[in-house]
Amino acid sequence: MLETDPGVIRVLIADDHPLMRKGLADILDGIDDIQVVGAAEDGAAALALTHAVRPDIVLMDISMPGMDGIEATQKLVEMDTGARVVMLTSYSEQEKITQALAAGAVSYLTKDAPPEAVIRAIRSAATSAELPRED
Amino acid sequence: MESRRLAALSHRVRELLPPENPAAPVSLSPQLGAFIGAVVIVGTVSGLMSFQPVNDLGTLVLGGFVMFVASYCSVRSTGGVDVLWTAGVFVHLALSFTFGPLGALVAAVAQAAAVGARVRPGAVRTVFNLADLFLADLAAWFAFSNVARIHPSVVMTVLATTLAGALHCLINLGLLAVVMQIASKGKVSARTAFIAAVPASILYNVGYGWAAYGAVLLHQIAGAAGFTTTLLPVILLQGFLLLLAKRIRSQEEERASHTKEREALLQQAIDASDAERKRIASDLHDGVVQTLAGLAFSLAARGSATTADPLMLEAAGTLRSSVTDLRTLMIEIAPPDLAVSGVDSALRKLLEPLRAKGIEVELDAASATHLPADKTSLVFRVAQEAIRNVVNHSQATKVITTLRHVDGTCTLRVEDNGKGFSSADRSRRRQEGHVGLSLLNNAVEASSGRLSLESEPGRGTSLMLELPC
Repeated sequence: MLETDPGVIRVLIADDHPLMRKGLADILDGIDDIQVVGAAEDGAAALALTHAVRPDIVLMDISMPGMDGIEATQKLVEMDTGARVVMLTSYSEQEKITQALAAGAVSYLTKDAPPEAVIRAIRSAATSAELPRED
Repeated sequence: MESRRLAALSHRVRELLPPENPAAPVSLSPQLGAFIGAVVIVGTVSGLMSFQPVNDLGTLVLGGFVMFVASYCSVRSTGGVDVLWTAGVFVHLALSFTFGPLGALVAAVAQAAAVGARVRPGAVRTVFNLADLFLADLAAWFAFSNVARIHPSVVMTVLATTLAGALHCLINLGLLAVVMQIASKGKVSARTAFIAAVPASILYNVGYGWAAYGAVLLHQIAGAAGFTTTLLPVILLQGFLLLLAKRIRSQEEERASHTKEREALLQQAIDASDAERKRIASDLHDGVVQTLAGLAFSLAARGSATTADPLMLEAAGTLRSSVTDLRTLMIEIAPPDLAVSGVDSALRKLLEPLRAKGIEVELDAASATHLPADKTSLVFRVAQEAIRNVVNHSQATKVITTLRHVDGTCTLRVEDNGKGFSSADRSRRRQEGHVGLSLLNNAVEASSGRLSLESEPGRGTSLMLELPC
């Protein structure tokens, strides 16, 4: 049984690049109401970890080896774990955004977004059902 | 043995002959039938009324044979030039002047038979050709023999041969033009066809008329041997024309093959360049962009901690800006899959940096979101080069980009209100090695498109691409 604090947003980071995982973890670790509960390096690991640690939010990259972020998001939605996906990626083409939102992501940011925007998106995703896109 | 040699010779001649397109079938309308019937009747009656016996039948048959060969080996067009290459008219006139109506008949039959064997034009065309040529030959003989007889002198002979040559041309082409108008049901105007055809033929017809008088004289002086002497150059000339046409044809084929090869090489260069651009963009995306973005987050975290260092936050901001610049660069060097995201979306991304520089941007590409896959890359690259030039050289404050896809043509226009340039400026820049647009122009031309650039100092620049899509 996992110990959860109801006031804390549990975040799983899914990104194939170690420096991105570390940078995001560094940012989110300093935020009181956010807790990083795991980090995955590809889509398959993200699914396994989501199943294991039950995050509220998965901060998902699109381009990852093996299963990419869009496919992983589709599967997460099908698994109905309750975790919401916030896409954080280098891409900003309309097509990618559309694909990500169609797969079930609730929000979309590019990696040059300031830390405050990432934190705001995580909080919004955790508290509201329908969220506007941010980038 | 002889027949085998003849077959081999015939085969060799056929190899030399340019390919003939099969003649389109003629639909014999009552009007066309009536006209051709009238021409045939007039020809028959005129022939019967003017018939004169011939005492040198051997020379006449030889002349008919030469007529057949010259006509069979005629070159109708080569390398896209439609000109009948043959001295056949000379033989027509020589036979008609020398042997009268029977000479005219032999020449007309020989040519109609040769065309029938070579082009297989069908019975209607063959009958008309025969009657048309016979009437033209007969008229030429009539003019020659009667005008020259009025007053035997050099002047009258020249006048008679000139008139005969011109009459031959006018009757032959005139009847042909009328038939073309009737057969095309008025789509071809007889007057227009006649006026277009006469200038190209009448001068050499007149020249052949003068030369044919030489055949008459030689026949009078030296009989069959004299007449044959005038026909030999015709055979040799026809052989030369065939070889010349063959050489022109092979040069045209070689040129077409070189053009195709050049286009293939250009396409390969474009494909290789695209692949290399994609690889660089992919390396940027997977490597340095991720590293810088990750570092920006880590530095921002250090800068926001309790022992905050404002320099860390500043460095994080700088790194984020670098990530933004790199993302723009990635789109510039390797646009996203245009077939998937659409050209309009890619153009919007291209124009984003201009907005950031305070340049007013208008984009209208709604009617051309998805162009054919093989054209999208080229449209994008032209737009990219144009926009790059606007940013780097124009000092413009406004750029209007439109892309339309109407009636199978894509039209891209990039206009700015910048400082413009003169043709001298453009030459100078080209000499300095700025050849982006020139290289693109080659690629555009290889796709049967057109790239045009209009500019004047102080009046902005307009670049237009038209591409069949």
